Amino acid sequence: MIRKSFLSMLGLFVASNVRADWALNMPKGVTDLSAETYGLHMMVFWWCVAIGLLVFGVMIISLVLHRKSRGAKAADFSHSMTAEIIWTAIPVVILLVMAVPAAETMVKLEDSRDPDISIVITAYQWKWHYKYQDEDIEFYSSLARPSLEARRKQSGIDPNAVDNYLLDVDRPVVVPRGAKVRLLLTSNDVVHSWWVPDLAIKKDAVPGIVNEAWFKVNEAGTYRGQCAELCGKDHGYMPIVVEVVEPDAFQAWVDTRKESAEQVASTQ
Amino acid sequence: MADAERKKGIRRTTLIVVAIAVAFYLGFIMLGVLRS
Amino acid sequence: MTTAVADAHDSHDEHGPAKGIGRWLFSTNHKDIGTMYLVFSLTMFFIGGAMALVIRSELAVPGLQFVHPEFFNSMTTMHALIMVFGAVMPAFVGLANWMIPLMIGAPDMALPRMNNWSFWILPVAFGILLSTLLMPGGAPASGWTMYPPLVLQTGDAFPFLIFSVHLMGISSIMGAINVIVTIINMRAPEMTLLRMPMFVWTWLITAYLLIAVMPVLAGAVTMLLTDQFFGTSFFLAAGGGDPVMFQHIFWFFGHPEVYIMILPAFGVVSEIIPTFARKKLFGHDSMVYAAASIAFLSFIVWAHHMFTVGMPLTGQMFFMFATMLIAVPTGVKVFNWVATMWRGAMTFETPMLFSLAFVFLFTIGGFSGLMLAIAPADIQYHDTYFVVAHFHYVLVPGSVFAIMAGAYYWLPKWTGHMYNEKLGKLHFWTSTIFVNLTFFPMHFLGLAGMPRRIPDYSTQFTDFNTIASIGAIGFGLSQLLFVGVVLSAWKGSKATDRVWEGSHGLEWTVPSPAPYHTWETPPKARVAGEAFE
Repeated sequence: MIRKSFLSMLGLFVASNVRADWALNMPKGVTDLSAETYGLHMMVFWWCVAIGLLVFGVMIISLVLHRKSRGAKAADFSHSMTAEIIWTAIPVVILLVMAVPAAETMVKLEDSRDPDISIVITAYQWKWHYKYQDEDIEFYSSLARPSLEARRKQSGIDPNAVDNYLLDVDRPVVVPRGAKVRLLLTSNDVVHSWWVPDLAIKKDAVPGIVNEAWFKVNEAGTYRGQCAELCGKDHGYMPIVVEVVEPDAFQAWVDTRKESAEQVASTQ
Repeated sequence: MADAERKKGIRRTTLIVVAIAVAFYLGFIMLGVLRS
Repeated sequence: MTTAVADAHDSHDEHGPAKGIGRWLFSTNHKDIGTMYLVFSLTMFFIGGAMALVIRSELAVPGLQFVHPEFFNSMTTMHALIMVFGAVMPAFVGLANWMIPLMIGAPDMALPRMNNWSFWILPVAFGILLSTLLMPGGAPASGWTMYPPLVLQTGDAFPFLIFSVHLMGISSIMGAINVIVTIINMRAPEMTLLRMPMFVWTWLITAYLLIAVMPVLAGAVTMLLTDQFFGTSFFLAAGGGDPVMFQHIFWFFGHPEVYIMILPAFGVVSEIIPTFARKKLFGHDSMVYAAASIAFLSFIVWAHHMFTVGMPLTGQMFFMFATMLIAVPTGVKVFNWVATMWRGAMTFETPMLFSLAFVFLFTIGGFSGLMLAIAPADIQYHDTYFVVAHFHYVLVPGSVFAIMAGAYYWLPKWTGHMYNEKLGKLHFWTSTIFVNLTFFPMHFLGLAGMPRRIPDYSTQFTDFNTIASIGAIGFGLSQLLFVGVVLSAWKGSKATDRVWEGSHGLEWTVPSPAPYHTWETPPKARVAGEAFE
């Protein structure tokens, strides 16, 4: 019984793609860089745990032993150059150890050369616009209808009855698995930010500026994210959905969209 | 009671510190002006 | 009434403080002004706290139950502005006003009339800010960070927001000028800089930060004002401006601002722990250099608030390394506090309890800060509840607990009576338990993917949000106990000069309550057996 609950606690602690209740940790994600990001996060975390155990351990021992009520008599030392040097130098070394892998990951994150696909993303108050540069496909992506109805103040609809409440859209972004996707981000009005945790990508969409980001997904699936910069009243209601499909399924999707775009054009 | 020396010192320190504050204020506005 | 200290004769003392409301409106007395700052700060703490309860009530369960999203955004914005500029900063200025002259042997602050203005500007500023809640378009809802272009969508409240921020800034700048001028010019003759108490040192350093960065905030909001009303385009892309430049300017203020809010806390804790451990502060000089290093470093890390804005790689690297470096002097301070406790003879009165909780819980906030410094990881943390957890840990069981500790520590000196220790301990334990219940789960929420500043959330975030809301209500109610403690200090037992057995410093050589005028004649190096260091 104890083993089971310990293991399930451990399970909660291990990263997962499933959006679980009581989740304690960030997802490992589905790209090489999301895994590296997760690794950095865990590395710093464990260093903090280690230092915390040391410092708090010493504190607790002192709080127990060095009490007046225990008859302790105060010592009279009040400085030590050696101690100061040691507890300055050792943290500097620890920081260097952390900084090196962090810098390596940063270099990779910035390398958006030679993409397979480019998508121009324009943020609006309060929806996203996607334009596939090479395919001439473009569309707006807004909060899905079930969420839209349930989110109203005192709507009477239980959010738990809505699938992917506040994380679902009418038209998702579709990309092929294994392709390097480059994003070109800007905004039509205020600052927004495009974030999908499973891709470990978060980049601000700023009016007047085009920002770049890239990702390459290893695992097909549906990945959800949200706007990550306060952008007005519906900041919490403009989610992002990325569907990663096999390359041939992606091609089929492209062809279908092109067809329906032509149909719409021909009726104008 | 503050003596004359101390009064002079107070005046001097105040002027220096006010100058620093004004310098930062104008400096940053100039930064905005020059960069736009 | 006799108000003179041991060997001072002064014709003023015969009539004591003025009677009636004039005493307070026109006061140039550092003790009265300090009291006004502290009472103002406590009031604002409750107002800001009420806003937090509105926020946590809405976030208790998914779905939108109580407020519209626009109003929710106003609540988060106003909660922060009030807590930062109305509660935390004025509280530290109040402590500075009361204690710095007493601690350095000065009769008052160097510029007593400016001191009066520094205080009285604040109720005006906050009256203006709070009045925006009633205006068309509502109170500002752009976050306390006021990023353009969003902040320019604020309704009628916009110029009032700018005006009140200017007023708050002027108050802080004048207060900082006063602190610097006082400390530089009015120390007792034999009190060299390195003999000053840590609270005075940390305030000296904080005051320099204030005069450097509050004007920068003023510059930034002035540019917002001109963009809105006078046809400039500092931050408007359509006119050739750059919204990101605002972020740079704001955070050049904003990062030192958070050190402004924590350095005096370090000072308070550095006074209290040695008293209750009955042992001198370990590494006094080291502590001074560490505080100065933190202040210096705080100027060169601002863009760690902007890692997702589209910064060049070299910029990200520089700001990451510089930010990580701050952990070094901060760690030095924590180690020195622990070394002060080590082989001391500790007792655990309420000021000590709050100070110890500070060391524990601020350190946890420091750890999440170190995690945030790692730029690639910050991509996942930025603008999530992980950040909210971090800064609430360093501000609430950090700054606020230190303010409480200082209040408990010096209340007997101010009022002449001991407060109710049982009530104090109850306040401490309930505050500590509920503060952790409120903010610890937010680490998990952020890591699990919950963004900041949203009034409603996806259902998998429910459980930790509910816990946090329960914690918030408990924490809020616990603060009523503090009001009870302050009131109890009028009826408690008479306090001695020294008040606490292990206390050190000039303030413990004057009577309790401290006379209206003190140190009219500066103390000699050894006063009533008290060495300066």
